[in-house]
Amino acid sequence: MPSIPVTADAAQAGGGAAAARPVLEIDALSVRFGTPDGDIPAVNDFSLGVHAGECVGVVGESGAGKSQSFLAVMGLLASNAGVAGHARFEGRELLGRPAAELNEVRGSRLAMIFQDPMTSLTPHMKVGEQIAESLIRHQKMSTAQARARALALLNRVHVTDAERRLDQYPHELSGGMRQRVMIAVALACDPVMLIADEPTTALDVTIQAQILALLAELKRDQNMAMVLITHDLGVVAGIADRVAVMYGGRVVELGTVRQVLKTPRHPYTQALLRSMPRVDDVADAPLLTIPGQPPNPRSLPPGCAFHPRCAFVQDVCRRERPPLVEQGAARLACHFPVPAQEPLARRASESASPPASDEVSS
Amino acid sequence: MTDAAIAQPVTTVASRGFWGDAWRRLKRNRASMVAATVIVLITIVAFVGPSLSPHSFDAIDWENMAVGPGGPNDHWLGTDRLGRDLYVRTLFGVQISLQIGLLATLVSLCIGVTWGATAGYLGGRIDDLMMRFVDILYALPYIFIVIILSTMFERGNIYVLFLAIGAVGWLTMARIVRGQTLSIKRKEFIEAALASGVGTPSILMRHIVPNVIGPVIIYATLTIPQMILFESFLSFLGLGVQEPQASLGSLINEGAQEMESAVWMLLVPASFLVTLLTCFNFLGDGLRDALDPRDR
Repeated sequence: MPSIPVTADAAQAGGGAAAARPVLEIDALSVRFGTPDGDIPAVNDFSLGVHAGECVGVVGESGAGKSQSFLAVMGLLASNAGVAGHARFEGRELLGRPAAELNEVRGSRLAMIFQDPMTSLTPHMKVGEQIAESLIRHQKMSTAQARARALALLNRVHVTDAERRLDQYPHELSGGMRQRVMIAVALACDPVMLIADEPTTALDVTIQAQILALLAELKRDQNMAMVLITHDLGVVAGIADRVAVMYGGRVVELGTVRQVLKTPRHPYTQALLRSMPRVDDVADAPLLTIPGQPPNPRSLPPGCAFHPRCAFVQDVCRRERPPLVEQGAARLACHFPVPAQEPLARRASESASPPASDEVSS
Repeated sequence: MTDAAIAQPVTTVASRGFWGDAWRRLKRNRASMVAATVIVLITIVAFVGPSLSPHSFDAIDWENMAVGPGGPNDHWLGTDRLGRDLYVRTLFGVQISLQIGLLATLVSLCIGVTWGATAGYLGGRIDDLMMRFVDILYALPYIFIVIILSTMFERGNIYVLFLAIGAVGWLTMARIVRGQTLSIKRKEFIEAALASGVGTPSILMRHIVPNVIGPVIIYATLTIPQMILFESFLSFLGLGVQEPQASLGSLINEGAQEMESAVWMLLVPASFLVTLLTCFNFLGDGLRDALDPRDR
């Protein structure tokens, strides 16, 4: 069997990669949706650089703008969306480019996988054909070459019995298997960057762990730049190097995964972490939630968008929006960040002084 | 077996296409296969059968006018009131009706699917323009269009008839396809295809059109009998098949006028028409199942 190289050249995974220019450089990205009731801002002033071999987790509640930011990068926003700012991928501006130009990049250098593997594969196309499609398109392979490569890719993403799977339809595969196929489609042309939009949300936990392990393996072996969009902090902890926490269309905290998860400094990040149920909790411990609702992008609160739900709110929070500034190792948008040395107050049982308003039993 | 398959080198991995698979599933559907066989048989008989009879379709037998089937002559299915052999004429009519039904449906299918899918997928102003054009054509009485088309060309040229019927038949098809396209163009798999850099023509032809093929096939099988009936209507107006040629529709028309005295003149062509239309319906049903890999 002729070996088909699936992994990228390991040599380019040099140690100096981090110092180099980011693969994807998002600068002051804003997304607005024009509706009959006026413009709705979905993403405001979003900046992020992603380097080769690095995984950045983008975390936030529904409607925080995390998916829209990267759909904007891919040029996949709905037709009523307006975009401002820059997104440079390998030095090339992506925003506002015509679809034909984007298609040179999409699926070849820059790939994306989606949340629901049940609906993201074309139902009437066989798995092998779907993987082959971008190979034939981007790399001008013959059908036979593309098929052989598709088989290698299925093996690469650890699909068992890959040869038979090539001729199966998506509905004949399990959820985890389909997500692997999605990843195989994304990997077909050896992209330098992969955007994963909630890749594990629709899967059950054991499959989640397998898919995450696969993504981590790809990042390591192919020195791939990766963005992982999720609302699950556990997922981020397992695979990401850096985390961007989004709230109300803005980044509120950005730092290394260790810093953000161990010593979160933004009250929202804190509350988010605290509301994660833990397996070792006592059975009747109340589930903690963040009071209130995520903000409606139509009418963001003035000042800091989080202030109506924040335990440490002061007058200035209601008036002025805190800018995203360097604070220690992290970037933070808060007037009154939690001191860095204070460990995360996890539970009422562990900490003597949790902010009382954060505790809502459900 | 599966373990062995994995261990095998990947040099020759045969790929069955979408249509190969559909064919395999269709073969498992007994009613459809019977219907398809009957259609094929009728088609063969229609094209071969006339040469087995000593009579030609337009020869008048002065001795045997309006005789019933099974008489002491060699008019196996009787004659019409002008003494022309009904067996030959009916088979000849089946030929014409089949050709018109299939070709006109094909024409309307090609135009309608392309038009509807393009309008639905591109959306916006292009969609508006394309569908308003359809609305305008709808508003014109289409008999009128067919009459204009068939008078522009030589009268009784059945190929012009195919075109004329097909050209007005695609409007509903375009609407059906556009509606289906609208309902799937925002699905995740289209987004995923866009994200992997698939261009607009490929999205349309590979990801959207095969997905709308189910309703299209159903509608097409309804269109074939509709086209056959429409053709007979035109023939009745004198715009379709011209005497002494015959189509099933014109034969039924003639037969209906004699049904009190010579019921076979109606029954012979009518039974062919009913059999054909029933078979097309069964076949369409089976095709729909075969083309949609999800519901099995």
